Amino acid sequence: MSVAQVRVIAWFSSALVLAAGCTLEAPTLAAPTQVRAAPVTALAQGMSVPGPASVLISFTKSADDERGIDLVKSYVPLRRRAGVDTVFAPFLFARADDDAAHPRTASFYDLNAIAGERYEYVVWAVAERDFRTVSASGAQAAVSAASNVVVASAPRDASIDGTHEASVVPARLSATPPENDGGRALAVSATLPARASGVAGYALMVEGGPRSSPRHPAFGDADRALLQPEEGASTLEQVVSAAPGDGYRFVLYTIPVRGDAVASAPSATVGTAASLLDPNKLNVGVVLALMLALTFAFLRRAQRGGKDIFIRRIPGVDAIEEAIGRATEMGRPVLYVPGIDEIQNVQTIASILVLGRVSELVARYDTEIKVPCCIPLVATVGEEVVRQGFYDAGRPDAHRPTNVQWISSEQFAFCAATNGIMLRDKPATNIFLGCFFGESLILAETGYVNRAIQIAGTAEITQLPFFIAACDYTLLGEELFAVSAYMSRDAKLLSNLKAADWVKALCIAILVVGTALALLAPQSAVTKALVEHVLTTGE
Amino acid sequence: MRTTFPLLITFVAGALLILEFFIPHAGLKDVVGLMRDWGAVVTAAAFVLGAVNVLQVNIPKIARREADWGYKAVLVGSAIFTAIAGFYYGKVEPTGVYGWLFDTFYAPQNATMFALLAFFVASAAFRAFRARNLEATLMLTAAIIVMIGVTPVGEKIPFLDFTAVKDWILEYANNGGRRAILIGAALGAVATGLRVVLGLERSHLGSD
Repeated sequence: MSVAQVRVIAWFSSALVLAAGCTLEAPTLAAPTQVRAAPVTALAQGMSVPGPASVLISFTKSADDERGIDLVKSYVPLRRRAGVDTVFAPFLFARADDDAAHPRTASFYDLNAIAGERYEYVVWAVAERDFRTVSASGAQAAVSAASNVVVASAPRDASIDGTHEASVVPARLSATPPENDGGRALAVSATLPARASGVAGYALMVEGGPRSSPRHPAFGDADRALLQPEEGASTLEQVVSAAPGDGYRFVLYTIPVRGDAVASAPSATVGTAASLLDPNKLNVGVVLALMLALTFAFLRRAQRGGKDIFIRRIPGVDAIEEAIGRATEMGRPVLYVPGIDEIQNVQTIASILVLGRVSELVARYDTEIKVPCCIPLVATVGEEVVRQGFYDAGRPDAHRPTNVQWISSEQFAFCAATNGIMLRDKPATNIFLGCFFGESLILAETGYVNRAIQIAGTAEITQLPFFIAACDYTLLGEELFAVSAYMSRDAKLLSNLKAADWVKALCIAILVVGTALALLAPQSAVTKALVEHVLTTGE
Repeated sequence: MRTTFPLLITFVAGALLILEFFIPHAGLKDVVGLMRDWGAVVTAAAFVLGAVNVLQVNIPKIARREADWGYKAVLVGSAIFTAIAGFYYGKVEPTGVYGWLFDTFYAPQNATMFALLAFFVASAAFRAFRARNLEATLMLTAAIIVMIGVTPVGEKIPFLDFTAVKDWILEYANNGGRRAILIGAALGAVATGLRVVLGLERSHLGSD
């Protein structure tokens, strides 16, 4: 089977997997089942039961539990007094230890029921992802059927007062769309009453929305089923994920240490609101627009026959052709390492662009190039680029696809193999351009042992000293991104380089002005405006 | 068409990703999220090609008994064995055969290569820290001060507070240079990204 056939099969398989992933999502979340409640006095002696517990609620997990990643985020129980309350409300609960013999069941302890009261329970399964679309857009929840009615027993800990907590006052609630939001969240703010003793925490419930959901827990995160603000806090603020649309209402329950929760008045009906522009990032947009405008301005000037765009000499880039010539004279190959990071890293992209030009030079000089790669996709792209370079040089027959090989995605395995290539094949020229980490010095030192000419370039600050110490030429940061334009001398690329230089000059000017302002007038309105609106993006 | 179509895809994808930074609307984030999912799938598919590449490169060398063909046989054999162990045992019993291979072979060898770094640092430092000119002398002096300052003995030397000098060198002199390179690299990265997105850079597509 040829490589081309394998590629077709691989892409087709990927497309099938992607299509399957898009279509095989469950339409609705499966609810927990078989909710059963029993007083703790019925439990066997010797079981580890929390002192305040009165009732044990057990249930069978949702059929969608553990299907996919984070499908069911958590389970939240609610209760009501049988024959008294119509609406299920939150209560103080604790998750019981899972029974390894029954992995499909889970249990909760009711920690604030009143002894002698009759309760029934439901369990909500809250999911992280929306089942209607591929991407996340808010929580989705499903509720079980009600359990049997149970009479709560007295707490196991006889010292606990089992009577109802009095004077628990509800909070005041408001909900609004957050600023600069994508339309998938609502900000809920509650003004808390002066903290009376006996309040265990708060639980936020939501109802309505575009699917007219019944009242259910607002959070899919079990840690936020019971909200406990800081001591003395007078407000409680939370951001809740929501599906796009209108009609959400929130209710905040104040949960006492013992007894029934007290609900606040529902918030006003609110809907999500998606922003079309984040004004905090306009400063970045201005810089981007400036770079674009300068690029096209310099390009127009060059195309109109103006003077050539000047860029300073970069000795490392000038040395590339000389180094390739040296390799040709010695009859040894050129080694090109495009870094160890993924193809989406801009350093790898810059390196691949340079690889095309280097491989064209190598083909013209009729020598060999070896390209060991750490990432399979980089190897695939690199092989195409090298092939294209040989074609452009008019030497398609000289290209050997096996010279561009994927070694290993593990950092030091790749480093060891590349060292092996250097020690066996003894390349006369080593070119290290791209993103490197700890293996940079090992590669450079091994190349030094071989007495190869080494040209390195990376934007990783921590690796530059190693390359400077061990290599003949080192391209620092931005010089790596200039190599392609420098080698081609194409007006389009040079104009873009020039535009980046002008933006750099602007940055230097802002730095000088900002430093002067920070020293001379640190509290002035101008300094504050510079810091808030120019130097930060609000994230 | 051979160059136009890839350039069009690059421009559309790049423009969407740039816009996503400025536009918080969830609809756009959904589209970009989908593109990222596609990218992840393509990356995973590339591993199949990588595996084919490993076999393509090494099996002919084994068959022709080229130099060091034995090592290539070990490479191919261990890769196949590890892949089978991972496919079968990885999900069923992660701490079994697959875990044993990782703990017994991979982890010690990885640590060995990382440990070699210490010796390479020593040899590189021995070569690099020579007082050949003013800049090299300054670098040598700074390196000595920082090396003494980070060790416990630096605090015990009475006549000079090496720790304070080390801190000053790292926080002011070193940080200034670092940030300058970072700013330049960041602007260079933006310029490179714009070049590729706008189609100004076409070397990866070949000449027309």
